[in-house]
Amino acid sequence: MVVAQQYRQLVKDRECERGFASIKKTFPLSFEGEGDKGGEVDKQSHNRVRKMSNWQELEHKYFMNAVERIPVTLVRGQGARVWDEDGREYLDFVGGWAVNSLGHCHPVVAEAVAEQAHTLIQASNQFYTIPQVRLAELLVQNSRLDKVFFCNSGAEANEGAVKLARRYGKLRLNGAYEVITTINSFHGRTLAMVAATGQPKFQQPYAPLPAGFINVE
Amino acid sequence: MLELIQGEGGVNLPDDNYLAAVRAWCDQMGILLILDEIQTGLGRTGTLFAYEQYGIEPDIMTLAKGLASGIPIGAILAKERVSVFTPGEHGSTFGGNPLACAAGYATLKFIIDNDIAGNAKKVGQYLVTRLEGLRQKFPFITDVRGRGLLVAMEFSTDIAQSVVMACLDRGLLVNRVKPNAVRFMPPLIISNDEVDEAIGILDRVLSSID
Repeated sequence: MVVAQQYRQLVKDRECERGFASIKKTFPLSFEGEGDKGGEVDKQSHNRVRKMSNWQELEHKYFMNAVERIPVTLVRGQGARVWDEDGREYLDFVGGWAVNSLGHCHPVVAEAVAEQAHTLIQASNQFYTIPQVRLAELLVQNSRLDKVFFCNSGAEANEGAVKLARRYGKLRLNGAYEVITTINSFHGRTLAMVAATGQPKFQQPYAPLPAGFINVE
Repeated sequence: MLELIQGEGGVNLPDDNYLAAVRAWCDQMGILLILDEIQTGLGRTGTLFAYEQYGIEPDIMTLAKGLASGIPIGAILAKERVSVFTPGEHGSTFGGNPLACAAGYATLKFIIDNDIAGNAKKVGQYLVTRLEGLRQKFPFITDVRGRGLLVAMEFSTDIAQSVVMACLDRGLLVNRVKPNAVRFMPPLIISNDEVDEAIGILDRVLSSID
């Protein structure tokens, strides 16, 4: 597949600047280059005085103001490098919030996704599908656990874990339901996980929280 | 329900025997132990799962984040005896869809086959060593802590946001985890070269703070 070949070439390249320029030529995205050129450099602090780009203005217009963002619009990633809308390169030690374990757009993952996207994307769990069975098997074989359920995020996984534990409590522990978590923990942004997360600043806006969660030192 | 290392809380490591004591207490009281390995799992802390380093096993474990290299996914894993759901008691429209699971399988297979956890351990140790070097140089760095490639650096004052923005201007992305601490959570495939580059930028940034 053409996309996979280009990425393989990029990875071999190791010269990310050259790689970016060449991939930009081959796969130009319509919005690239429309951003602001980033503003002046402050003479004292040497920090760039950043101006809002078109995309950042549009985000303010259409997106809920729930997230604190750094004024950078990222458009491409490869390995441990990312590039913003003005073509500036960054070494990425945020990793998509500890997500990009294999770096950005790893060829092995990109190929697998591309191939599956042409095969079967979504069927629902009313049917058997193979990729989930293969992944479940691999997880069980490489952990000390026996059964798997897939969802779509960490918060959903924690919610499901609490549901499973409460089901177990109802069946085997005389109806035990309380969940003990720690201060300074973080378990997600859903309502029950806000109750589980031991950080008052995340909890206060949403009282009364779902019952049965105790935060301890 | 516990994280093995509190990620969003500031990369807080447990005391040496804490987790073993929690496991023992759970066993004694008949309480289930849920381990949240969403941030610590999939090799980030130097082993495939962080619980391996503490000599304990969870009854239930949760995963997400690095499981599918950025495709949204989450997973609940449980021991046989705890897996008590019967049909209809739980569900998810998108959960386990072929696209996310194809990405997950490719990712997990790569992590296992290439000992990515081992790389995270090795490079993570080098990162901490280099950060400790910065700590010797700049007295306002009060702590360097972490496991594998989940590492934080704490300061004596609330300068984390300034550090993040100054790093940004010099081409490095880092995360402000607390007003006085920055967190590093790079891809697990990096080498010492990337660490050297990041340290070089951090050195220049911290030198300009006074």
